[in-house]
Amino acid sequence: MDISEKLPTPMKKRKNSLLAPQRRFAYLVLIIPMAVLFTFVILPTILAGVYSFTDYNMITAPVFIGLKNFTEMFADPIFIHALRNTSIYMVVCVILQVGVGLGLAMVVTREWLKGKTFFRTTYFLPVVLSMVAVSIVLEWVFDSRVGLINLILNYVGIPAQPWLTSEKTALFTIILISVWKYSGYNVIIFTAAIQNLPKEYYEAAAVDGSNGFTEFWYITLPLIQPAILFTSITSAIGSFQAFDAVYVITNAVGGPNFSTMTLLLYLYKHAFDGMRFGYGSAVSIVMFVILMVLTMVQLRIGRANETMNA
Amino acid sequence: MKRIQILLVVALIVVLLVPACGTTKAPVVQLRVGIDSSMSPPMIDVLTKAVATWNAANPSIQVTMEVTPDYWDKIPSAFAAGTAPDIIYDTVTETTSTFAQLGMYLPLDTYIKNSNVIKPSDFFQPVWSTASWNGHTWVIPYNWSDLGVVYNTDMFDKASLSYPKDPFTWDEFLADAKALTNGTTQFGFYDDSWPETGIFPFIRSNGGAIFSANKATVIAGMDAAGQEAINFYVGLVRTDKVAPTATQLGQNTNPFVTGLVAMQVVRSWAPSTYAQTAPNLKYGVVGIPEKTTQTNYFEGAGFGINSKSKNPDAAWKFIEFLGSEPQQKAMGDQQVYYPARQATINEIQWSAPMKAFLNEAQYGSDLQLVSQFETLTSNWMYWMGNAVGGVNPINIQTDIATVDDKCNQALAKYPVH
Repeated sequence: MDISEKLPTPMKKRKNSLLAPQRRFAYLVLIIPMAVLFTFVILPTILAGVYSFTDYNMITAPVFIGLKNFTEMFADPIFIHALRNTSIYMVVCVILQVGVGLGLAMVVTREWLKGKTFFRTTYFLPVVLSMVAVSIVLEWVFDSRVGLINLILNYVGIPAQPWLTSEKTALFTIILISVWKYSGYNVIIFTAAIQNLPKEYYEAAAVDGSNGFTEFWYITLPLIQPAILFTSITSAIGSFQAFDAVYVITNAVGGPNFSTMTLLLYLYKHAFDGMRFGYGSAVSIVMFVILMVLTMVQLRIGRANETMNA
Repeated sequence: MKRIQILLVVALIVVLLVPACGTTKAPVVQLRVGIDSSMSPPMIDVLTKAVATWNAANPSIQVTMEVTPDYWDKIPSAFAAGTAPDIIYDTVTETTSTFAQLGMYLPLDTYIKNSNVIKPSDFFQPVWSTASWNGHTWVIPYNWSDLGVVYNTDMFDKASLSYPKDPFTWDEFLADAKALTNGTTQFGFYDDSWPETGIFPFIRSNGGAIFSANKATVIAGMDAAGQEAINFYVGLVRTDKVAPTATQLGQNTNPFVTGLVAMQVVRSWAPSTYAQTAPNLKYGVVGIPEKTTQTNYFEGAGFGINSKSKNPDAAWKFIEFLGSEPQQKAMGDQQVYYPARQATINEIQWSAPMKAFLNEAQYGSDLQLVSQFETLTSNWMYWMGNAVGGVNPINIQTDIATVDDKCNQALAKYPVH
């Protein structure tokens, strides 16, 4: 018999009436962020899906054209450039941002390191800087004639490199800028994860004669899998939407020779410069699908790893 | 108590009646005029003063000027949102036909017909013609500029070269460029990736065409003369090495001002920036190097009326004011752009460089670009940036066909005639 049935009726009513105003308040508080989410995320996503099948310049009414935007997109060599560049950018950024973040976090969490707070602050500082300001400054740092990097290379006898002017090096240079800027965020995530690991595992491992590498490989790495999964997903999503650095550094051209053209820059050029919002919407839908698939794959891998470790 | 109540009622009546007895003020029309923040500071000053003069003389029509960054991206979006200004600044060689086709402008024919101030024959015709599309006039031109080659006289003196004179042939130009190049700290010429100040003048100076005769298709570089011009121009970087590559240039966006190059094709407003940024720079002006034809072409700007404006008649009055002789003279006196009014050009005491550029205008005709959307400019600029960058491989023949094809796709959507 359900206990609530044994309670006297006034008690039941009192229990429900106690919760009702709280419940109403909870729903009320949720309505506002839900309204914002609907207005700025869900509705635009739905509209982008609808407009992706139209020819729409935002001034005259949209005209339904079926799959024409998608067929044009996949037949455009510049789109293929952009897709390839963005994929390379994302993969390299994820590997480097997660790797650098984890490496620095391992150093920052050493017992013997003095000034941990200073180091954590220094590594996080680039994250809070404006990417536009960073891009303008680092554009000059990587300048092929008078840039600081080439001056240092010349000083040590290495020839100056055409960092941002060669199609072979331009994308990699922008990746470096992105890794420098965003790795600090991962340092903080990994630092928190490592600091929360139980010390008993390390003590037990020390008794068994483990060294730093074996501790890292067999203890630290498996236990911070959730943090690795989180940073991989956020790094992937962030780098897939690379735009501001490329826009500023290449003057929105995505050059040289489209070697730094990213999907978002491609979308921007067509949607805003070209007034082709239907086409831009189609590009955004393709990006959305790719990111969804990537995220699901990453989550699957993460869950599989968790199951194995358990 | 009763006395107080009576007093209150009387006071209320007085308060309500007194304003009604006063003179009724005429409603004030508020107009907004939008301009691009990348416009040169002297031009922004001229327009600011024009607005102040207008507002002082016309209390019933008050104008506010909005200087907008990323203007060309924002204006169409603002129009779609219903927030575009009443008067839209327009580069008549680039955006008039497209904005008109999108329905952003009111046709001005009736206003012009009834105007005592704006007469089409009073205006510089190549620029007036680009303010028209499909048989209507959409924009009243405000100013224009043309092209020329600036050359560093100090560098020429050091190299014991005589200053170039019109007609400045390709061979003379190349010989001078070679003599002025040391390959590291000084180059003879700057190959611009912007087609209007780069490859297009060279195509036309070799007798090549940018558009087909009926302006329906882009054929830049598709004829023999155009191909020869492209090979010559790109060869300045890749073969003759008299122009710096992208690596040698770095982030230097003013190679002529910084003394990296001895010659550069520029627009006639360049001297006004040199006066500000490099007052000690000594330079001369000569025409575009020619192979078979002396050539030039123009860029212009003007103002149109937003088709959704609630006050189009008031907006027209302000545009008439900007096109009037006194305002055109005030604008020309800044020595940045030439006034759109033909007679006013002759009334201004031009500086030596402006006079030299003006002299080159006789060889010009208009160049109507496709539109700012998927433009002739940006499609060619993508390719030119790589071609004159001199670092990455190119295939001129196949590349040009692809570039023109893209331009023609945009032209089919937004025809210029």
